[in-house]
Amino acid sequence: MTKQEIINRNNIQFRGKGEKIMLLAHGFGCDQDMWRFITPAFEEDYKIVLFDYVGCGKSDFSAYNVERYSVLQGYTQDLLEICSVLQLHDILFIGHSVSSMIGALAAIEQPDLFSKMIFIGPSAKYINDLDYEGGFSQQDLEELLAVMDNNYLGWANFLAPLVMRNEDKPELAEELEESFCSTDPVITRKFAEVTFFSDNRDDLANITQPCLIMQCSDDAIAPDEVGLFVHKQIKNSTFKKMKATGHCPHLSHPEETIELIQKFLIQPDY
Amino acid sequence: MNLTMQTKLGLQPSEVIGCQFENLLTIGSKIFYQTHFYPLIKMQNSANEIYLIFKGTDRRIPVLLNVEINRSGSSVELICSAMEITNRNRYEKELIDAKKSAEKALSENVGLKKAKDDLVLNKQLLESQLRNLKSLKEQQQEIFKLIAHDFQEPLRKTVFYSNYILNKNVGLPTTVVNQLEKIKTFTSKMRSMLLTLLRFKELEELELEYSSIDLNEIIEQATIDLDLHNDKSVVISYPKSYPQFYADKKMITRLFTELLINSQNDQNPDNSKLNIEISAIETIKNSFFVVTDTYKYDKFVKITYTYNGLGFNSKIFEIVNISVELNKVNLGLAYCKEIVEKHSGSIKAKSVPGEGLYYTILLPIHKPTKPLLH
Repeated sequence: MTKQEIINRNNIQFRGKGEKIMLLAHGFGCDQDMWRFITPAFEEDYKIVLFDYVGCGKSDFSAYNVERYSVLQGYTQDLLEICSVLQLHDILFIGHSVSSMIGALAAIEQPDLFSKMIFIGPSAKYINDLDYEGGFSQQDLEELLAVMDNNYLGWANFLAPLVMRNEDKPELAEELEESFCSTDPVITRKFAEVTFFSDNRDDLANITQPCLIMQCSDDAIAPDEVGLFVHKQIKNSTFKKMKATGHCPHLSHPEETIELIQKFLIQPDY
Repeated sequence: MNLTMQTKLGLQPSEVIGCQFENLLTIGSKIFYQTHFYPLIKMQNSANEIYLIFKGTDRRIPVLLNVEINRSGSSVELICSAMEITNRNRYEKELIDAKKSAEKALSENVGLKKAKDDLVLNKQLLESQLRNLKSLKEQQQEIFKLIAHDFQEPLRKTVFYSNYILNKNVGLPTTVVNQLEKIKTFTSKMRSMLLTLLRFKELEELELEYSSIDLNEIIEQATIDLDLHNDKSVVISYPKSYPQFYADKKMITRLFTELLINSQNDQNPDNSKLNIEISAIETIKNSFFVVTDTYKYDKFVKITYTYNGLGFNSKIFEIVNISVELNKVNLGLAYCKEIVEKHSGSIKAKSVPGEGLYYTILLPIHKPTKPLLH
């Protein structure tokens, strides 16, 4: 894959005039726009790399492959391909929500590429298990999928002819862009399944980089116990409980988010 | 919140103040609220016709919600209007079910058609590849026959006649004797190289015998085979934990033996000790390494083998060249590559000058269900 091809596929954008690489990975349900309150604070010191996963934001939807993206490893592949084609090294990775695990898998696969990892609202497994509190029952998550189905009812999307999608209805695509952070409903629905039914608990112990876990207060999606579990499993991790509430502190409380990131970055490597 | 809403949700007026909007929702809706709805109103200041489900007193209440944000000065006001759609929701549910079955049928149909087209194309490709492979194999057989017999014979005769000359002509000048000895050495070297290639060929024909692998036991066996277990100058750190996987025990032991021999041969004279670190984790990878755009995720064991040797400035592809060039008695890394690839795995090597070498070996956890295509 050439540089231009991957830039188009993942709608890669660059910001900042620094040397060190900061790679920002958006979470489920949105796109790189989510980072817009955060990036200005780091533009002086970092070269910031932003992207959309295939099927999100302004990525190339025709590059979506159902089999490839049927597990988080497919999204990890996106991430590693970006790093390899753009020749990124010594990367500071910041992932929101499901991107924490996508980034974690990338950092395990190619440890020498990543220097530090920051996870915002991570969860290694959303569904409760015998001796694990993920926060949700199977039923809860099936209901989420039903709510999504209802919200996307109007979209005449069929998975199979994805490549030629909406050619006959360009107005749909236009309309779509104005809602839901311009995310493709069918892909988002699939992404939801992959995200909420994944289980990465055993992978956490294989992360070697220093990690910061940013835990929101009253996070309905990744509650405290879930964040603490992630912290406990990663040897080299710091846990920070935020005053920010909800699941998107980089949108709702950018100042606190920036401050915590900056504090973590000035910590000496150990 | 108006009275209708309060009654439906079973809330007292006193409970309404300070109540978080998302806490009125069912859990599924709460997730949707956090991942979609909230970012949307934050970015666009409004959202229309969003479907959410409220927790009612005795039943769930599906609604369509419109939201506007009113900013006046420092205060932010969110105005929400909701329309209950319980009846419409039933109808919608039927629509969604119908849409799903239509989608399923279509995707199966399109999927099948595409699979059929792909199959025809792949069959054609396979045919031409098999033809090439067949002729290559025939050529290879011929070459190996040459190596095994026809090449060996003249070499044997060269050694024989050199000895003959040496024995029959007593009092030859020392220089001639030395030169003859050199001819003998080179010829023997050549013969052992040919044998090496033959052994390599045998490996190719070998059928793997799969059994459950205990990695530590394998490594220990390899060190015993090489008499390294009592060697104080070699420090091996074993993996603390590792996944169980299926492979050919003899071959995997051989793999580690070859790696260990290679590490010894590549020892950095600056280091008093040879430090070898082995670790293994389970990972999920696409099992199609070569074919593009095809995905089947499987469990693999990823073994990392690191040692503080001299290293080399090349990639694994050149390892074959190196090991043939040096013609070590062992088959070296080329052998390792062959063993790993026979298991449908992969091996990569990376050299960091001053630090050492890193080998990453990927092996499937489970044995293949179908016989591999030869």
